[in-house]
Amino acid sequence: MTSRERIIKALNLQETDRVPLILWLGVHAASVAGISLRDLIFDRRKSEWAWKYSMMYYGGPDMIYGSDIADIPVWLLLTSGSGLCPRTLTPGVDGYPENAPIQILEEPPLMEPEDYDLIIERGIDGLDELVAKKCEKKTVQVGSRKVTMPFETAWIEKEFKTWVPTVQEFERQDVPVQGSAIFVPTDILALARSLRGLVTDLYRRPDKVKRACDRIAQDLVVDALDYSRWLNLQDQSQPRLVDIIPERSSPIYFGPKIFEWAVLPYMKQIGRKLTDLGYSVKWHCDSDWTPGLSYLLEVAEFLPKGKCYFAFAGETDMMKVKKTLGDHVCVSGDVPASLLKLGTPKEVKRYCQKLIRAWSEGGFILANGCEIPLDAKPENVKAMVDVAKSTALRK
Amino acid sequence: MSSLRDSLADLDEEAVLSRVREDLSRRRPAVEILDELREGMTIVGRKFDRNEYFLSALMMSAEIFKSAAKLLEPEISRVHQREALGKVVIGTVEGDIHDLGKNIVVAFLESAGFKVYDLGVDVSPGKFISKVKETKPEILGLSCLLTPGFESMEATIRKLSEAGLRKRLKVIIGGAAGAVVTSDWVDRLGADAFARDSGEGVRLAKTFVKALKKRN
Repeated sequence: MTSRERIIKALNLQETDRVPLILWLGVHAASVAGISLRDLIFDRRKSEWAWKYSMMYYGGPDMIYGSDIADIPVWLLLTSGSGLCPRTLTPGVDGYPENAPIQILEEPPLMEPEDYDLIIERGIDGLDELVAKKCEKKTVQVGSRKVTMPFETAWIEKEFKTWVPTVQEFERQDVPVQGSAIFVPTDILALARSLRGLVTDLYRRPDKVKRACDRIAQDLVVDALDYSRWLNLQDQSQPRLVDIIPERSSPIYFGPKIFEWAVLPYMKQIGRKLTDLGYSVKWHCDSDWTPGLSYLLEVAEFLPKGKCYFAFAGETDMMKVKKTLGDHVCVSGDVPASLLKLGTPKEVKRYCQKLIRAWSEGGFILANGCEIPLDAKPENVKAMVDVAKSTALRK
Repeated sequence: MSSLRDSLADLDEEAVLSRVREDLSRRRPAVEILDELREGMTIVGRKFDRNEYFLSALMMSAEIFKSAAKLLEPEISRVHQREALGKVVIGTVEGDIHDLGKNIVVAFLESAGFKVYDLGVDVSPGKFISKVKETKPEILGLSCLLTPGFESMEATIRKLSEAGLRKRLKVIIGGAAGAVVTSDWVDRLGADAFARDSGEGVRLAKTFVKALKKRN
């Protein structure tokens, strides 16, 4: 069974020869290959080498994240709304240590309450203009949008051209590539207003937030298509995946009342538009979604069967996930970053086996929760890969 | 008309602020107003424990409490000095700038009656140690989201021990990096407890302060 067949079967809740595996290597590739995080971000040649070396070291996964190969710069280029992260602590830049983790400064907010009208009128373009005004940073043309980048970008577009064929090489080997990524509207607003600012707006001016979300949702679908086309992946065989990130929009943040008007309708709307256009959706469910699993079921049932999966990141109760979503939609996850750093191979193995056993009839992809941290123990990541590749699934 | 306590528990910002202004104009003692606000925050905490409220409600209640407390200044600082349940030094450890959870804990510790010294984010072990020396708190709160934060926590706690500051100080760790923190890891870091959320943080702080006071 090829990786592509395995992934497609998992999405359709069908039996596979073994559990499919996804590794989001991200920054961890730097530590495996022994290069600095700074080089992983800024040195295209070293970055690609580090990524290929890490793949070889661990063994290839069944699907790759398109941004993985050059990590952050390409992730920024492929993610709608990333222009809202211009104040980023970047390894090796402005005295920030070259192996320290990338972090986004969100206070003070880039957007004030009175700026909602600009978004209602002009959408993400309006936000990008605001950011460009407030931060003296370089902008880069991404599809039809001019995006503000957190660091020097002159080289990115040129390097990006060399990156596309590398990605397509995987597609040719029947390893599907997840292309573009978008946030949900409330995540975009949380980036622009800060989460604290957005929360106060949800209580103080819900009408404005709603109208801004309506406008942003339209732009996000356009961006997802735009970015995917940029990768030239649109003609590849299935699944053509778009990553949708409701990272800070789970009911654990907003509670059911707010979630039902500020998040859920847009998850359905954006998901439906993309699936109608032949894309599949990965829902990147960072944070704890345990109180919102019934909503995820609602989203899954609103979309065509086999056209989406939910990726959990180590905080959601996976046994409750199995109970609520197990018979309806594919799920991936969720080996926690802290377990990969603090645990032992035995503990990682036990954790993975528990997940695989719970989904023994299929519909599950073993993956790390969100991104593997820079300081994860390689023997722990190896344990995870070994379990996936050595455990046959049985009906 | 709802009471001040209930208005805060219902997250009705307008009602809380106008009620505080009204109470102050009627010369109601600030300490009484503060106590009622604290009761409101306690209800918010209980609703969170019962899954009736979520993080946004905690954040909003903290915003309302802060705005109301501002109206009570300078009275409120005198009250705090006099009645503090205990002292807490808290911060996000070196190398990490995430403070969402930490800020919620700070608001709830303050509303519970603790005097809190919030050192902010990316706090070095040296800064924690000098603040602990200066303020002699019963509790030190260390928070992190990113996994490298564990080393910073470990270094901070080790240096506190080396400086002889651990005897009367309880260390509570918190933050999303602790998704798999078990009692084993609390011990290995040299901490006293891990708090999963703000409610647990406040409960642990109260328990530790009570035990320390009983010991004396």
